[in-house]
Amino acid sequence: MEHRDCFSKLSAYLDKELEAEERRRMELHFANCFECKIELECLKKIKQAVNALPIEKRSVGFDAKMHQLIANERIVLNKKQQEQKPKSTLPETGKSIWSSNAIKVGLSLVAASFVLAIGLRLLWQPERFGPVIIASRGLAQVYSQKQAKWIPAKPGLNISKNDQLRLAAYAQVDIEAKEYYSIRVKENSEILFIQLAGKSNKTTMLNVKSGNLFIKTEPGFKGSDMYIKTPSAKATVIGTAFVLQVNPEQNLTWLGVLKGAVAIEGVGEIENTLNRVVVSSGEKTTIKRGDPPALPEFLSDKEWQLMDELYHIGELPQVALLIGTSSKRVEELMAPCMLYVYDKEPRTLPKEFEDVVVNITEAVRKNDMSLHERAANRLRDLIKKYPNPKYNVQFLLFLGAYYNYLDAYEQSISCFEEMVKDFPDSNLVSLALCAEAIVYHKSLKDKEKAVQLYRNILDLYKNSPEAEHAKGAISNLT
Amino acid sequence: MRKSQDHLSDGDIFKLITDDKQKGFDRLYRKYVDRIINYAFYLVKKRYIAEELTQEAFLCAYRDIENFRSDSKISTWIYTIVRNLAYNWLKHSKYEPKISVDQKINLGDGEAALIEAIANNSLGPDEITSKKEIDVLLKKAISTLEVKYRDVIILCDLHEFSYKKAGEILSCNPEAVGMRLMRARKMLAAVFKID
Repeated sequence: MEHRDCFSKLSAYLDKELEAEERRRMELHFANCFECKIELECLKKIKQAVNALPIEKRSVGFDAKMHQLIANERIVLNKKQQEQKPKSTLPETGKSIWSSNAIKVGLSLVAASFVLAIGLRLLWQPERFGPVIIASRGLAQVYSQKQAKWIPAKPGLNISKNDQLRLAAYAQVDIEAKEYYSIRVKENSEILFIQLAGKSNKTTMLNVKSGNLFIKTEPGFKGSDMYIKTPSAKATVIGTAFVLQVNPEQNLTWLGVLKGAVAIEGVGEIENTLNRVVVSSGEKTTIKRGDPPALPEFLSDKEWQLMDELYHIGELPQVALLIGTSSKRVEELMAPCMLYVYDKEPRTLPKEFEDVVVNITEAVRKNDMSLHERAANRLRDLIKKYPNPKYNVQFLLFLGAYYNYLDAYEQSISCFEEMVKDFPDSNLVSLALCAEAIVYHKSLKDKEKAVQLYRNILDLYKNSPEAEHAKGAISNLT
Repeated sequence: MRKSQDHLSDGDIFKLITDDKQKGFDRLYRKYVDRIINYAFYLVKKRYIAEELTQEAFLCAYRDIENFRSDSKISTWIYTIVRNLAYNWLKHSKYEPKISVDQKINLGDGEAALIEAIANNSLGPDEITSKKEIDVLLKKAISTLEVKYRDVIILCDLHEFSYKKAGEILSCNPEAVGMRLMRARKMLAAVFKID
């Protein structure tokens, strides 16, 4: 090998970037070339010195800023997606979809009470400084220190210091301290309001024994303090929107932050200097009692979707099945029930849904089964065309019951199955399973399949309102 | 080079991205963030600018991560993004000295002993302070190189990229990477009088 050629490839030789044959030829050349050997040694020293340079850690606060940027990006992306969805042109007043003459009789009454409830909600404004219940559903109670008894957690109820709030399964309560914060309390929660911000003090302190909380602070919160205690952690809120889940059975607290930051520390005997972490926007952490908090990680896509509910505290659903929360709700659904679609800004339902309302109304008026079928199929197509996770649960349940009413059992079952498959986390899954079991049992006379579905309910949703129905049905069928 | 604490391979990160965008991005970020800041720092020579460019790079990656389709190029992809941002920043700033291959770089009189130490590769375990000082000197020497030489020496010698992968980032073939790297090393050797 020529010296010039060898000399030009010294770096490649050093970095093992050459073929074996070429390396061998270069090594032969080195045996006779002192200059190449010296040059190679020199390059090697430089390579080693550069390779030994340290890579410093990013500066303090870098991650927090990065997470904030990502969180902002998420919000922008979500908004863009929302804007791309078609706008509805539903009329100013609410519209109801129903599918049975029997139900039509009760329509005006129920609809009127529903509209009235919305009207009250909108007209009523809390005057008091402090948390007030603004919306509630299901079984929820407040232990009032003043009255020394448990009272129903109804909209308009003021919450005072040392009051306690408890929610049964499937219940939900929205609380608002005007211009300070709003909280959505989910089912199976238990909270003690230890201290409430007032005119003289600016500290709010909650003790969350169990359950899920969605908390969003408002601009007026600035300069105030909020502390939340759970069996395994203590959180300090630093102006934010976040979700806190407390599982007392596993002594676990889960925290996910959408905006701002929450400092959280473990409680109990913890010998660790890293007992306090700051969870920034887009991050989550978990704390087990007696352990320090886990280092914050990014929220998963599913958790981001969960966070979306923070933007809907105090809102009533735009599409609602007019059924109760008792164990009889499955019978109410299969009657079939009414599906209430009410108008609200910003409208998110496409105009075609309004047309289906008209179609079904016409089918009911003319008592024409072919029109019914056409309307049901049209609604089915619309659900596919505009998949909206917020409303599809209600639409699919309604449609399942509607098809059953029209003796289209296969379609009915497919609607219930689709709902269970696509929305496994919905608290209406047990209702869909029970409704499907009823179709198999009463319409298709397939007792075996019906029993299997009822057993699923007892295995997976033993605390659901449908468990009682399932138990009774199994004892009748076996 | 100190290895990242995140031992997940690029292939695993790619799999994670396809399963869960958020989780995949989290691991990509944790694995590469310090290295990307380091790379950007050697390009733009200002720590705060390097951090800003890194944030911008990861934000770009986040926006586009769903369209990413090849596990083998995930590291070169994020390096390329920050490199483009850094070169763009350099283009608009008037902060880029040009040093020719033969030009000697003056580092100051008091540094002769340290230069000797590095030249002789004679640093012992008790000479941590000296090592730190040498690092400062070496960084200073690298920072005086022309950006294309800083670029290649950081990618290949500090971040341990192969010529092929460095070529993907630098948009040139592996042979050109080898040539440029040799020149860069020679320039540094000249600074430290290693011959």
